[in-house]
Amino acid sequence: MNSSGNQIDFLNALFPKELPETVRQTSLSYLQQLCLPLLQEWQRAGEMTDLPTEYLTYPSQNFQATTTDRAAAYKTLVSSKMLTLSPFASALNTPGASLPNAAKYEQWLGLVILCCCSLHIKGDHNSAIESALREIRLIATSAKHKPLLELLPSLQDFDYLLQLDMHLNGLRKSHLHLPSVQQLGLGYLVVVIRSVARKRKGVIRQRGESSSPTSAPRTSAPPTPQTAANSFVPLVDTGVDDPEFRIEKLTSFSKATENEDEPTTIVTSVPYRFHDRSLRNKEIALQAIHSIRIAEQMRVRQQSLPCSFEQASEWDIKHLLTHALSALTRNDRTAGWVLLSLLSGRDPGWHLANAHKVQIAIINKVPSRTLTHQVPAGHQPQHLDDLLPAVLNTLHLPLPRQMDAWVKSAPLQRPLPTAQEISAWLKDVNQAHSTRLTMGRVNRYMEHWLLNQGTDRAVISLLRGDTHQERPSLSYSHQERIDVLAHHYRFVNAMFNLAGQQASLPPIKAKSGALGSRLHLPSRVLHNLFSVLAQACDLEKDFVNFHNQYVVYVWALLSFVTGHRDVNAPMGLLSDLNPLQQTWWISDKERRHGLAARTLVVPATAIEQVNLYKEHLSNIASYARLSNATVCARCERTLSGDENLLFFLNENDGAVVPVEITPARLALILGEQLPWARNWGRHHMRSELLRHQVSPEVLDGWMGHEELGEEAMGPFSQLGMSQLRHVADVIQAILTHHEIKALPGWKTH
Amino acid sequence: MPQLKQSTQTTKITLHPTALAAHTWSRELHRWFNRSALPETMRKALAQQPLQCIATPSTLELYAPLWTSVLWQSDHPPIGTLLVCLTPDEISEAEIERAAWVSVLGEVFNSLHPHGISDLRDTLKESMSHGLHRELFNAKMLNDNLMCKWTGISRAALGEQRRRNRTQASPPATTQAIINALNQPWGVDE
Repeated sequence: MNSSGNQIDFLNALFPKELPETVRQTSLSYLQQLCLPLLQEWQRAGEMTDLPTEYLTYPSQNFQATTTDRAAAYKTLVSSKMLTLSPFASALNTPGASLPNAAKYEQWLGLVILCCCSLHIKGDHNSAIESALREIRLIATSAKHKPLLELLPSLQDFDYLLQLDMHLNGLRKSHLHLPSVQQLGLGYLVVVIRSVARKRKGVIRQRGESSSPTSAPRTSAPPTPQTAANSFVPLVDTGVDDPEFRIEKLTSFSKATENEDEPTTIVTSVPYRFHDRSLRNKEIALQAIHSIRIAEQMRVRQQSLPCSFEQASEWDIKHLLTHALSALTRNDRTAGWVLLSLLSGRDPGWHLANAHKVQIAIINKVPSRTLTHQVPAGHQPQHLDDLLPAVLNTLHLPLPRQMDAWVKSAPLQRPLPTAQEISAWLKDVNQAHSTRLTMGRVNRYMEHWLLNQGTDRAVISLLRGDTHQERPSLSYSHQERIDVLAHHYRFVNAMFNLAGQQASLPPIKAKSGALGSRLHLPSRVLHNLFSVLAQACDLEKDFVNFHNQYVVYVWALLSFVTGHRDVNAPMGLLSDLNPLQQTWWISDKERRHGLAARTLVVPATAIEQVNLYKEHLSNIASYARLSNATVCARCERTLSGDENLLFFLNENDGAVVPVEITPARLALILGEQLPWARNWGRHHMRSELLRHQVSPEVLDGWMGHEELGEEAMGPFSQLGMSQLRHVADVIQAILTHHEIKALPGWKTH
Repeated sequence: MPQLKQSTQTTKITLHPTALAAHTWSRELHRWFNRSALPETMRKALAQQPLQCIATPSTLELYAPLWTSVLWQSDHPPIGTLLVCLTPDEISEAEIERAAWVSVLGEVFNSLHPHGISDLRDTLKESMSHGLHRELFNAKMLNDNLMCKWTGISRAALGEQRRRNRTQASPPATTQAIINALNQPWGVDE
């Protein structure tokens, strides 16, 4: 092919013929106008020499540059939904004139386009090109990306692309605090500039055996015969110029082993092979990280280490109390603070910093520490007052009588003892009684003691005055005030018993009242809720509405029994369920394999519901077979585990199409049927399971709390299936008690 | 001449556009039997009835009988089902429509749930053309008199069926209605 032919091919690839003619012409015209002078300038510096200048000019016999209205062209691209058809055309026609520093934007637009053109010729950089062009377009059109332009340097300061690359690299490292959108965006721009500057080869991506050599892009390497040695192909650009390190993805398998007992073809998993010759050196580092991890876990639990390691011992506490109580009689202010630190798990500085939510005062003639405790689910609309239990916003924690005088002296209004004063005070005790007291050990003792007693971490956090951001389980907990007080009393009394003293706390009044989330439904409301949802299905005759209402019921039941978060595509795929083990792999956070992912045992009713749902899908597929092939195919793909388990049907211009479940769509279909948050199941179930004596640690694992649950599901956990089965049994009992049943679906009558 | 074929795993069958109204109408009516609950062997046997189709280059367009499609286990009838294939030149659109309606009416008359008789009459007049009404029922429109004559039920019974359909409970729609529904006393609640 001659040079002109190459040029036409190049321009056709950049601006496909499917684009409206006006858009193509505008794009070609602006490509020449913007990029040609820039290219000549860079080529004088020896950059981008592989991109012929004539490629940016269009032969007049093929194209007619008549229009240059880029705004109109961009509007056409948007209205005809063609923004992704040609990333080059979309980027070139992006209206950047309205930006405050339009000139700088044009410079960057030109450079990115040129880099992308150069990479296009090189081949195998498609992903990088698309990402960079999209980013430069979004800088002009999206408010989230716009600040990136301010951050980018002026191009006039750089003579070479390598210089620019190094500068941008430094920029990335020094701006780690940027929002992730901008960090990523910057990364996309850096990748194309670096690839051009360092003349990097492209990445060849292949998908398994299905990708045929004919469909490979023209710049791909020719297919080579399959052998054991070449069955891995380079996959991931590691971003480091280290020839010793590369990552490969397994793409094909030897056919010779097909007849063996166990087929070697891996269907669902994606195996990678890491080549890192420096691994031998890293092993030690890896071991160190591993050890740190174990130490951290042990520290968090505070149970497996001997008390002498990090915690105060009973001997220490006994003498601390004796010493503090005797000092209190002499109006020693520091003794009061040390005692409060022991009984509250917080140091004086914390009390001062959180003066807005903690109060130390005499209430009803009792020295008390009053905490304000509020969580988002504690606030509900007034019209739900008849349905949801009320919660208190404050918690009064009585202090021992011996602290009466100290509390009356309004300690928070007076200067606090300094750290040195407290250390000196503790030093006296240590010297007198051979104890090992430090302020940290005194503060931590309450958590340590209560944890060893099997107390829920949420209760401990509540007593310590943590916020729900610090302890996620606090957001979900609906805790009876009496129960929380009982833990506090137990701890204070145990401490004073150690010292042979009486705390003389006032008796707990059997007054009702709870703290935390209001989403703990009374029995009648829970039963009625599922009845209402089931009734809504019964009343629907139209198969689309019936399906949607039925999916709502199935979602409500399954998310209730698994404590599923309110996310896109809830419950994942049918293949996430193991019907033999009755386990379900739940991943309800953005990172599908994050720490919040967990495997749960589900109760029998849930399994029955899934079976009925599968039957429903078969019936829907039969029903829609001749009239709606899309719905029929979707049902079959769902049943085969290839698409998400739950989906809605949407009527669009008379055509019924399946759509994925999103929180917004769920809200639309639910309408008024669920007058509170859609993750109410997590709230209710946590409080309910605790009432049924489920271990708090198992519960945290069950709920998939990112930081806490990892111990239950982590590699060092001793959590057994029996504990998860116990949780499933408890949930089943709750379902049975409330007459919540699996609901049959559509029947072809 | 019609061509006879047997269905295979690759047979692709779609609905003839002219038969859509008949198919849509018939599938909405409530039958006496839950066909999805029938045993697998029974479903397969019922689904193997010969099908009349129009052969097009890419697919076979089914027009009668339409009801067996709900019994298929996949997107084609059981393997070996006899297919009577005509070309578009051999049968007119009107004849196809008539055959489709006759097939669904025959099936509906044999299996309709007794509570759905008023539904049949009310929905048919909206779905089937006047011409076919006149041709098949010898009446301008299917009316209550005919229904009573054919089924032996009284007009009062038909009226009662309609009244029940009209007064069927609707789900609570307003926030207050939902709150009331959720607040209903139940069991041994606190």
